[in-house]
Amino acid sequence: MQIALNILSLTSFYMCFALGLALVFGVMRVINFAHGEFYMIGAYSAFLCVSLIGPTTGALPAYIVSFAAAAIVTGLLGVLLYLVVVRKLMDKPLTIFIATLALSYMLQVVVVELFGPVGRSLPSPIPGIVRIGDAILPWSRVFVIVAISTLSVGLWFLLMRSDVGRRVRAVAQNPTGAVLQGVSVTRVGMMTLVAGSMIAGVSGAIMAPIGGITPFMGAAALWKAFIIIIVGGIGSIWGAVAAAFLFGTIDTFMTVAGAGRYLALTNAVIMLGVLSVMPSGLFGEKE
Amino acid sequence: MLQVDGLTLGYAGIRVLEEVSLRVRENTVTTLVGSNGAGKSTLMKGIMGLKPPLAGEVRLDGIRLAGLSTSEIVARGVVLVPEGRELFPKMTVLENLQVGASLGGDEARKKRNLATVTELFPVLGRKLSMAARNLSGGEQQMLAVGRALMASPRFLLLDEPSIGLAPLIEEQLMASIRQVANELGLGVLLVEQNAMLALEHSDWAYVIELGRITKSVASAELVDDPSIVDAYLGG
Ligand SMILES: Nc1ncnc2c1ncn2[C@@H]1O[C@H](COP(=O)(O)OP(=O)(O)OP(=O)(O)O)[C@@H](O)[C@H]1O
Ligand SMILES: [Mg+2]
Repeated sequence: MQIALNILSLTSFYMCFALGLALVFGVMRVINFAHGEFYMIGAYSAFLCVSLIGPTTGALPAYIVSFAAAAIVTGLLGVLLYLVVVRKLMDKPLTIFIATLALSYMLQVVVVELFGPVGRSLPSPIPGIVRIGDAILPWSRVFVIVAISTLSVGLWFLLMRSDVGRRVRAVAQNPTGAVLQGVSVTRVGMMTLVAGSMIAGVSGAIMAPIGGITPFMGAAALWKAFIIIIVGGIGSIWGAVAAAFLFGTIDTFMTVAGAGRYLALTNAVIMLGVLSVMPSGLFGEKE
Repeated sequence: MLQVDGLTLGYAGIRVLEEVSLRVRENTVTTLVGSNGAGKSTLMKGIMGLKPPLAGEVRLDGIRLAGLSTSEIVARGVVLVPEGRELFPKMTVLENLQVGASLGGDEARKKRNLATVTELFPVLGRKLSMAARNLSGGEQQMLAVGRALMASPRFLLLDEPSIGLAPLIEEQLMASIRQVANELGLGVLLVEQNAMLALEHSDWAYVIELGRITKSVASAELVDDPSIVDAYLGG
């Protein structure tokens, strides 16, 4: 039971984070290397929020406010990234790649200067434990599971069932076709970039109380997202979801078995293994 | 009325259209006849604002479209079914139609458009939840036309809409286009491989040769023009 819930929360987190990155790539053919730092900034926004207003409002309301704060901060960063970098360099993907890499380092340095290089931990949003069946879970864990699965299910519905989501997928699949149906590709691109940034930021705020935060946490998350996107198959939403579930499960079991320090290695081996058998990933298009 | 005045267009310095002028009226089907490479597709791209003109302009009801983006032109009711269909391959038939309806008006209007499309192409109605890429070539062509109709166009530009269709279906499509034009008061600009068939179902025709309009006559007249019959209508 406990394991199932952990798989659920890790899968949801991987899905949110990887889909944000994959959508930006699918729509704009741009890799945002600062995606991981948006996640980190979201986590630090939560940290700030909880330390500033937590003592007066209590931890739980402070966390809920922190989600909004993270969304606003990373959303603004997304807008800035679009206006300053992406819009001007639209037809130079390599330059954008380098520019977002630079942004990623800048954000790390800024956070190190403001909060120090040492990691922080956040107080629990809800103290105490809860019994679900034969499992004993801290309330804070339940809170994270509920929040992150709500976000991932919401994202899924937005993408697959709403007009906006359909337009985003249309642009990713055929920009010419989308333009001819009156879809503004630049507007959809900007929206996707901002939404992707916000999702990364809110995921960071949600995950912060269980993982702890450091200025360098973005790199690991980004690496994981790349592995998920590549294993799932570039351009495939279902593939990303399936791969998120695959790694959510594997990582949970490895952590439970006390082999957490081999995670990065195992993930990389799995990625190479999958690619050697299926060069375009589990659900990727055969070129 | 959709009006093209002295439009000159080119690719990388090579002029493809030379001062092309034509009119497409509401409630009529206008055919553009010309051999391969004459500039028919280029003209349609020019009207949609996909290629900036070197000279000349396009007007809708007398208002210049210069400077508008393609999506703004679509919003004003000019919609192109392009050569090569440009569908969304991994989305379902219904989703393709729904994207088509992005600028198609309110919910009631969208419902009516969907009814029109499934009545026109019943096979689409039966395969609404199938991915577009799994449709046959002819069905994909129908979807491309249907998707364009979802946008509630006032002027519909069709670039070889019946490519890949069986002769019987082709005949039906042409008849339907005429019918839809009359029912909805649409102005249609039609480019067809099978020019003879297109002319049978259209009111007015332009002939384009090497990027210039060389004839503008009633379709019925063109069908009887021996030089045209020799050149384009396969004798
Ligand atoms: N992207 C392009 N770059 C350079 N030249 C082009 C391009 N597209 C078309 N042309 C040229 O413009 C001319 C007109 O092409 P266009 O596609 O408009 O012809 P068409 O009348 O639609 O022909 P078809 O009946 O074969 O579809 C051709 O000579 C073609 O080589
Ligand atoms: Mg053509």
